[in-house]
Amino acid sequence: MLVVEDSPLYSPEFFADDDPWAYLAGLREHDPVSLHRRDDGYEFYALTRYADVYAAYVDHRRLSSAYGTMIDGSYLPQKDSASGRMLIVSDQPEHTAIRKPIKTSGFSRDMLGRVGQTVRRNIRGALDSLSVGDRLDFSKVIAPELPKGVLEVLFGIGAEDARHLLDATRTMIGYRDEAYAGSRPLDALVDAQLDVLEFIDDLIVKRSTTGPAEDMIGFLAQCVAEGAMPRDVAVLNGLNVAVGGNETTPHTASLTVHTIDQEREQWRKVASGEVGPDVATQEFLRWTSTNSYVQRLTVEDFEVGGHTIPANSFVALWNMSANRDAEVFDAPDSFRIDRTENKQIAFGAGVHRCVGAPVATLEIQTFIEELADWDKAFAVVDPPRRLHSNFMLGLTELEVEVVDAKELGT
Amino acid sequence: MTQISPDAITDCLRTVLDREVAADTDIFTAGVDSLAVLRCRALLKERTGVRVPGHVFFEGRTPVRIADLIGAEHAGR
Repeated sequence: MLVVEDSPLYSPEFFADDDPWAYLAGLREHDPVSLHRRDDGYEFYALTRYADVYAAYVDHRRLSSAYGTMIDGSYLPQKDSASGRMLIVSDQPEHTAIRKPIKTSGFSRDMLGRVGQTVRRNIRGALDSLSVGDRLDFSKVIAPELPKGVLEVLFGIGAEDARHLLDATRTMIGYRDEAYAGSRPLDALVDAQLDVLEFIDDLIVKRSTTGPAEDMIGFLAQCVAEGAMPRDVAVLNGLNVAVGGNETTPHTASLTVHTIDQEREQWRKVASGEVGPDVATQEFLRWTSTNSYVQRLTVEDFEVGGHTIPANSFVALWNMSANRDAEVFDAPDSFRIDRTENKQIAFGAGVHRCVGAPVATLEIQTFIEELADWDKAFAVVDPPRRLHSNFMLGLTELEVEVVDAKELGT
Repeated sequence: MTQISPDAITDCLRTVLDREVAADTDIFTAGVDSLAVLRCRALLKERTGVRVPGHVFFEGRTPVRIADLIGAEHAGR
């Protein structure tokens, strides 16, 4: 098996300034299962083929989520302090016990309808406020509008509070990037994390006395008030949902605008109605693969791709690589807006598949629909700046100019 | 008053963790996590009126060092 010392997969700079897609394509082709080491002793096995990534996702018994889903999330095999209490870092049976109340209160069909309306209102309002000739950083001005509407509905808060929460979670996840965290990244990370916890804790205390509620935080607060859920569990999962929702779809939206700018011909098919926005959404999700990987820990030996990964090893499941696997996708390195056979794995698979996937998909599809109906368009005027992160593929700067849609023929 | 004594911190930690904590205990090896820091910080605020930034706990690690850092942060302003 290939062993890579000082692997570039650890490096946020490699993801911002180099070509991780090409590097992962090389691994997928020649060394689909490989071991990546860093000089401080940290190591993980990288899975790069769709079939192997999928097999690892669905084997949640042998591959634990309890040791942190990010490389460096917990140092050396040690359980995350929130494991068993927070959805993303819990194994069965706690995982299902936590997922159920979140799913029914936050991501039911009824909630999806309400979220969709709020997200559409926000996006439309933001687009309508722009005039031809305006220049703006899309990633900062428009992209956060997507999760903002979700937060408003799920947390039962106003737009201003939602924006505050968005800023704090952005610092938490992007703490390695100066654009978000300034010059003392670790301080910024822990301060932002505490601010988010404090905000949610206050909200839960406040909402536990207001009676039955129709939003997720109100429901969790009721569970706490009735003694069905510890307050810490409610707070941690509020954090989980806020981070999971805030730090993904704005990046997907920015990358979508950038892709449209590069693939204007294909975008015309959506604007003209030739290709449905639902089909296009799936291809944007595959193409952008915002969450590049998740990490697991083997609790016993795990056989995959002809290799045996020993127990007690970190394994990284590279979504972004699986989404470019020629075994599963025709012309995987081409963006095809009308791709119909699209089994993109951007949200993972199995019991841990992103609980917010229906909402995220709805946000992106709503965004695409509103863009297609808009009489204007975004033209990218400067090379975008990529987020310094190996975990989230996104843009911290996307300078665009608002142009007349007719001028671009869309 | 911008000074907080190590005792004030150990008192809050004792309340939050429901067990003994010494002034030189590394609070993170003693089982303090982000939520415990959150509760401790709220108690400190309630009792002293001072809102301690989260990173001070993680940098200080022991009540004595945390109290030093709080003093230094305020002296520096």
